[in-house]
Amino acid sequence: MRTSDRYAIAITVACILASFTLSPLTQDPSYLGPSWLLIIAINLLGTLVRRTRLGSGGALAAQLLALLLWLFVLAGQLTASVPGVDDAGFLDQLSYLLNEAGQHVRNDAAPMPPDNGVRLVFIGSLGLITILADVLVVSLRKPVLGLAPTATVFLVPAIGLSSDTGWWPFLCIAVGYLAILIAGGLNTRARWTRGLSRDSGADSMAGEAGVVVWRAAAYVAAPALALALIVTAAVPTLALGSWGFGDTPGTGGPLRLSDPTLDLKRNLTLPRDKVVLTYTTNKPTGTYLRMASLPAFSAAGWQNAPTSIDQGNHLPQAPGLTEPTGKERKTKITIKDFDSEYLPLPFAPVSFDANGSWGYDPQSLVVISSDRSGNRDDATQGLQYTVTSRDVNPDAEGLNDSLAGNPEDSDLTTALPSDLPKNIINLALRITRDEPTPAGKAAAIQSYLRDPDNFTYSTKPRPGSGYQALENFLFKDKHGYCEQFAASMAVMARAVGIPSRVAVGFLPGTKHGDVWTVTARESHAWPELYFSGYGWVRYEPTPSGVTGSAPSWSVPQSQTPDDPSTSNPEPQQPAITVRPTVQPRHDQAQDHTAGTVTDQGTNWGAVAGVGGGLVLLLALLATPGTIRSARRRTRLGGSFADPADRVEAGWAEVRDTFVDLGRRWPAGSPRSIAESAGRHADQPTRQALAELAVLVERGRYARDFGDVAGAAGVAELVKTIRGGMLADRSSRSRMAMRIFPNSVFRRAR
Amino acid sequence: MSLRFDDTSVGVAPAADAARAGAEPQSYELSDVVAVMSRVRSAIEQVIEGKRESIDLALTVLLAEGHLLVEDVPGVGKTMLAKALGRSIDCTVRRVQFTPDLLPSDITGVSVFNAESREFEFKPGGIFANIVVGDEINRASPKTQSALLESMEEGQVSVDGTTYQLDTPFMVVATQNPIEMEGTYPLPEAQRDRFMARIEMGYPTPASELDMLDAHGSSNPLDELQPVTDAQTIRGLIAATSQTYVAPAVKQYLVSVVNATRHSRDLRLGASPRATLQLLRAARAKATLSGRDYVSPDDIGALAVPVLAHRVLPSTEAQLARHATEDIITTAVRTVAVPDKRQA
Repeated sequence: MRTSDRYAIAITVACILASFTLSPLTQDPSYLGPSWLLIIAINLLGTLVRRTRLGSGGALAAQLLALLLWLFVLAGQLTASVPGVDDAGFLDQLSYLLNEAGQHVRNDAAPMPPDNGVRLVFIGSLGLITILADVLVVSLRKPVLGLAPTATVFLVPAIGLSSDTGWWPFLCIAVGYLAILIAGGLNTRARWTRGLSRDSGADSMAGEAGVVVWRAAAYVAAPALALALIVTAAVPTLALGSWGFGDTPGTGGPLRLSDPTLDLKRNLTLPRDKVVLTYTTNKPTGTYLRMASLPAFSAAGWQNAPTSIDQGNHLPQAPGLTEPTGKERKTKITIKDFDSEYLPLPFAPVSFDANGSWGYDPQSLVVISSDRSGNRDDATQGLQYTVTSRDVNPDAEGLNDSLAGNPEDSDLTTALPSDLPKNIINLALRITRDEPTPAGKAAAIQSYLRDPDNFTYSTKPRPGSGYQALENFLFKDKHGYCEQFAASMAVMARAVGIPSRVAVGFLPGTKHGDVWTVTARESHAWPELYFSGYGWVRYEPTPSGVTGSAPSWSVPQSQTPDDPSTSNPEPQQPAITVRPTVQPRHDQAQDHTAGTVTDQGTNWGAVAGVGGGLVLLLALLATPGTIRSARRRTRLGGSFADPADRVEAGWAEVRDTFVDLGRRWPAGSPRSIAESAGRHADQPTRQALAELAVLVERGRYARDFGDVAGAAGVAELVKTIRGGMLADRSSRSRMAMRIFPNSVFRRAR
Repeated sequence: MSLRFDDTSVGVAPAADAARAGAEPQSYELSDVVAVMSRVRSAIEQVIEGKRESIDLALTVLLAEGHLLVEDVPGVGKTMLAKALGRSIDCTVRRVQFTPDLLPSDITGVSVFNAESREFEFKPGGIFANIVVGDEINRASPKTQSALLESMEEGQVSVDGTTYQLDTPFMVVATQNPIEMEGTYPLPEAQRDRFMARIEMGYPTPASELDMLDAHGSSNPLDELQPVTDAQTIRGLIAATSQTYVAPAVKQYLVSVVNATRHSRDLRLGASPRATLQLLRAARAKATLSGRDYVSPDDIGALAVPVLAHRVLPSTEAQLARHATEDIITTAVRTVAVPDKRQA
């Protein structure tokens, strides 16, 4: 096998593995097959052409030609059903497809829907990358640079994708690179054995380089792989975004979010007439302006959660919202004297055009300043911007039929801490006892909180935090402001099985002419509950004196809050459970089906991840020993055409055993090595070493080996020598030697 | 005239010698070489106890068609070794005692006018023998020394326009006393280069010395030494020795070893290309003596000091630091990596 053949195989493996890393970008994996064919064809072509006199230059030309031909065929096929383009020239087809791909990339969030243009771009790029890798590794003989092309493929989803790309694309790239490095190592070894007639100095340099590559593979790649696997398995929230990779340009750590509830409290105590912002909108009604969303609930109260931030002004569709929504609302917002890192937006925002660097959280659709250079806290100061949004206005009936959904971040938005006081849960269950549907339960909780007989609005609640504050509010004090109302409703919603979170922002304000004015006193917090088909729906548990009437959908029509029992058209609906296991009628792809495990149960995903990581770690740990024993088997039991090769293999085995024992393999001729190696050994070992050394000497320096009978006994000799050398070792050191054989990592010189 | 012909065998006329040299040598196997040589070795060992290494080196030089320089203090058996070697082989041995007044013609021979036949008749000198023992070679004048050394190199003698071929095997065993340097003419480097190897006899071990008392006390064992082989056989063995295989990697190693002496910082003068050739021949002979049909790097390593040490000149720094030339050579050899891969 030639040097270039080994590299070609390694590149094929690396590029095929790299092709997987593009798959998070599209919903359509059909690009894989053609690109694999292309990768294999390019490498095969390169290998064949290199065998002719055309050499590397010819190979490159042939590969580029093959890529072009492939694209030609592909473009014809992909545009076959497009009228007007199907019979156009290749260039027209190509530009059509590239245009199409460009539009998709601009307009669609990953994963992109199936598209021919995207497919062509993916296949073409993979082909190009294969050629690039071939040039770097085979033509230029720089296997170390083989990482660059495949890493480019890896970086595309890593940068372009909002969510965690997971550990496996990294694994794919790493394994591919390892394959190239190993091919390099094998080639260096192969060069050694045929290089005896050449200048020995140059050869030893090459050998040195080979050792470096092997060591790099063993020392760097293996721990890196293990670490990546374990860390990603053990830390479920780890995302490239949260490491500051994919979210913003510039440098530095992840965005640190301030606690929006602190702003809320501060704002509420500001002078009543302090104008925070004004806005005009194309709809007759005003709109809640949402800034932040707190999905995590714990003993410390409602909090932000680690999140990944995507760049851009176009937000993805609101999570879970599949029901037809109202018309677009366009809102022009002018911020007066108000500092925040959160951009106030109507829900659900579609796009915005604010100056500065802004990113969004695809789960909560919260827009946050991602400007690392300046002070983010005053990013909104004096800002004027236009927002396009779609109001989420569920019809009460539809909502009543809807089930509590299962959002993507359900691990955050459904979790109830195990130490949550039981009386809060009992209260929630008591209030909603008579309500069969999730929406009904939500409405019941809301009306309980809004009931002026139960609670009084006050911006000066009794001090306290977390559960204590919540209990104070619900059971003792019954005084609070929007934060307490919103927090209580969100907690109780979770207690009855509805995913919830607390949004922070502003009430719609008051209208003067066309302009709506929002003052500091209109800072507000409200719960958002997740319903299948509608996504996150706003509720308003804060009493009407401050907020006006409750949202229309949150009050069942034929039902007054005082008379909850008469309303439901299907009061005996028995099958509906808190966490639905049956797909509701709004069956859409984005609506996850049932029940992942909720609150305090075992997180089987994490267990599987950690378990898998451990298994992989064990496999990694077992690798050196396995390699070593495989080598020993081949050397002692393999079939050799030349008896001298068998002798050399036996000698190599003795040498590796020596290195495994942590001893230095002496330099010199076989006899001198045998003499110094056997210095402390017993007589039979010394004898066997001497016999083997003579055989090795004969194999290396004699005209022909001749003594076939002697070679047959090599395995026996080696066993005697190994036995002698291991005899005085403790069982612990033998075990260490078996698990972590030095010779796999270090070449004896 | 101080020339003494110390013939230990019947003098042979040059014409007869030439006839013998022309005879087709019988072809010998490796095992024959080992067998014959071990007989010779045992024969010599009857005379010299405990000098196995020196004896082996002498035999190596014999098989490699080289010449041997034995350098040591008087009385350690230099001449005894040379004599025993000659005696155990049925061949002509002559001993030339070198003195300051020794003339070149004493070595090469002289043409004398024969009144009866009215012709010049060539009287061969001391060099016409299979084994020539040159005692205290550094005591002769440079002129005489060079007469000997030229014959050694070329294997022939030219007197009065006539060239006389020397018989084979032809081996000069010259001795030199390094202690008494007064009134001597030390061999220049160029002359030393013609000796294949230099050995130092060294004192015998106490045990060997004790054995020697018993063996030499009553009689001279040299007198009892019987030839165990003849010149004809030795010629065949030499031919067999030249068949010994030297792998390319080993040749490369040999060249690297010689090169190492040229690049050693401790040496002012490294070994010559002639040294490379002679090291190769010596290595072949040593391998053959060990019963191998191939040369191993060990042979080269073992011969590096005896074959190279007398040809090189240590640098002033090395001399001041009292580094022995032998150690410098050993160190230089160690820097060369032994070929440890099989050839394709």
